[in-house]
Amino acid sequence: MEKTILIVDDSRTMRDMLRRTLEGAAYLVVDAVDGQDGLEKLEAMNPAPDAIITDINMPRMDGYGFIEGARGKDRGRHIPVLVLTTETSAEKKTRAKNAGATGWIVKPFEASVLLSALKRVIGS
Amino acid sequence: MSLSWLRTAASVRRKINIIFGILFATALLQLSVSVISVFAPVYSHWVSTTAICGSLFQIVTIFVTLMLAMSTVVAPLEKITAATEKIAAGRLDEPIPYHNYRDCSGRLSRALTKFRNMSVENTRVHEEALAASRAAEISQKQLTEESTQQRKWTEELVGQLIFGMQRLSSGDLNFRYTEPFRPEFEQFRTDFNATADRFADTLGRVTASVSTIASGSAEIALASDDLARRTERQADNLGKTAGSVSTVTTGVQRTAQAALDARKAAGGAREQAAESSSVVQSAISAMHEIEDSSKKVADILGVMDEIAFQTNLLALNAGVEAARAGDAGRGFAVVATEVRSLAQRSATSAKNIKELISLSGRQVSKGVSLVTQTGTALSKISANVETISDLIASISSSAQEQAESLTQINAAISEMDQTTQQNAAMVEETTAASHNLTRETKDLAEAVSQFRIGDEVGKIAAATQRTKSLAMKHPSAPEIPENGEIRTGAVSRHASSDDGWEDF
Repeated sequence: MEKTILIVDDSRTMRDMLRRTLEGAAYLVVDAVDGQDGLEKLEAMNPAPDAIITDINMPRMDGYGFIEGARGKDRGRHIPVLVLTTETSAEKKTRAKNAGATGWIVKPFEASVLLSALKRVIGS
Repeated sequence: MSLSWLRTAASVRRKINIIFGILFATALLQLSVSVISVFAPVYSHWVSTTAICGSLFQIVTIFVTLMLAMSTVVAPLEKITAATEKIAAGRLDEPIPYHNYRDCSGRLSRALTKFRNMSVENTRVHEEALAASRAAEISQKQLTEESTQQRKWTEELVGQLIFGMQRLSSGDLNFRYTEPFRPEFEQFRTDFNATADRFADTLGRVTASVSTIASGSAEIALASDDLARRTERQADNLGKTAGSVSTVTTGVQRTAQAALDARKAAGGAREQAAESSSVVQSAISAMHEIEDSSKKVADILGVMDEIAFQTNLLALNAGVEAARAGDAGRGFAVVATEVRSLAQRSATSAKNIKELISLSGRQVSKGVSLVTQTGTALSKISANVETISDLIASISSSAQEQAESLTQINAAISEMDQTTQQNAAMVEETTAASHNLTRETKDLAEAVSQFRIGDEVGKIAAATQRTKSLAMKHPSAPEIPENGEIRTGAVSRHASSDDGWEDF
């Protein structure tokens, strides 16, 4: 059965590239344009996604708020969340980790690294 | 009571006199007892005399001791006490005796001398202080008058300073002290005005920089937004290109495979054509052999036709001879008739066979011609198949080259994809940084706008307004998060040590 990934990123370019990369690896993809939209999509998805990839800096609701919101929901409590961002500071990593993030990938990403990380957090 | 008086009120001389008086009375008592004992019967005369002499010696000794005590202890003490009382009474020029003694009197005398000298010094100092105090009192009057005037000036100055500082604290950097201060405060006025000038100049430059930064950050935001849109379009185009290239790649791969299959089929056809040519040659040979055999059969048929003719003649002769023989030859005549009939039938068959053989020979010749033509056609087909095979090989080679070119194109697309992604990441950083810069510039402009420097306030307001209007022109740009997170990451990712996946 194909795994479903929820992408949360305000950049259409990044969403398109992620979609191409993930669909090329036989994942199903649902995307959202910011944290608020991500929470709504997460609530509406049935079944729940197998993993979430989120940006940090987004309008309306940033990645930290999204992760905390997802962790506050029953269905989002145990879903692996990978942060995909241009940020590299240790303080922001710590903040994301405290919010409940599972891993951290720096943009621009290598497709092999992203797929390897996904495989690791949700299994093949 | 008497003991208390002796201890606290009696003079030393009186105390010594009393002590020695008691001793003297005791000695007199002992003397009296010794004198009385002379007349007692139990004591000897020598013993009594001795006791009396001892008592007298004791009295003398006590007296001498008394005199000695009076002269060595009491007299110095009394004189020193008297000198002390005089010094205490202020008579500091009185001599102090026993100064050179090493006993207590000497020590007391030297201490008293030191005390007197100190008192003399204190007195001198006190008098000098009094004199100074009187002089100070006179000066104080003068100073009070001057101080009153000074306080008046100071109050005026402080009032001016407070006014100036209030103007400064209210942000008015245009304020200057134009009226000169008193000479002793003039430096302050000059310094204040210079400081205000410098502040105004610095803030003027800051204001100009704020305007420039505000304009620049807005332009950066616009450029970043444009770059974001271009990057999106590029990503779109790249996606479509990648899809098209993928389709073309699939087609080329199919073409290459079909060319390969066709090449194999052409090879097979060429081999089969070669084999067919051999078969044709064999068929031509077989035809010629059939033709030869037909000619031999025709020859044999000629012999058979001749035999049938001769047989017919013999049968005819035999019939004639049988007729001549009459009844005896009747049976022979029948046989001869039958033989003749057989010979005729044999001749007819031989004729038919000859015609058939002739027809067969013509057909064989025709067949040979056709087979020869077939061989020629097969040779041409084989040559054409060779040409087709070469063409297909060329197609296959071209398809392979196309496939390799497409692989390079795919690699280039992947690289462009990565570059586009880097651009997108850079756009994100630039957009956030420019928005952050805009916000910081706005804060700085607001801070600077609290100061009035000529008409600079208006300039700052205009710059801020321009920044807002520029920002409103690109509403699609991401907003700055409400939590105030500021991007600080470098634009370039190449030097980052955090590339890749980091597991929490």
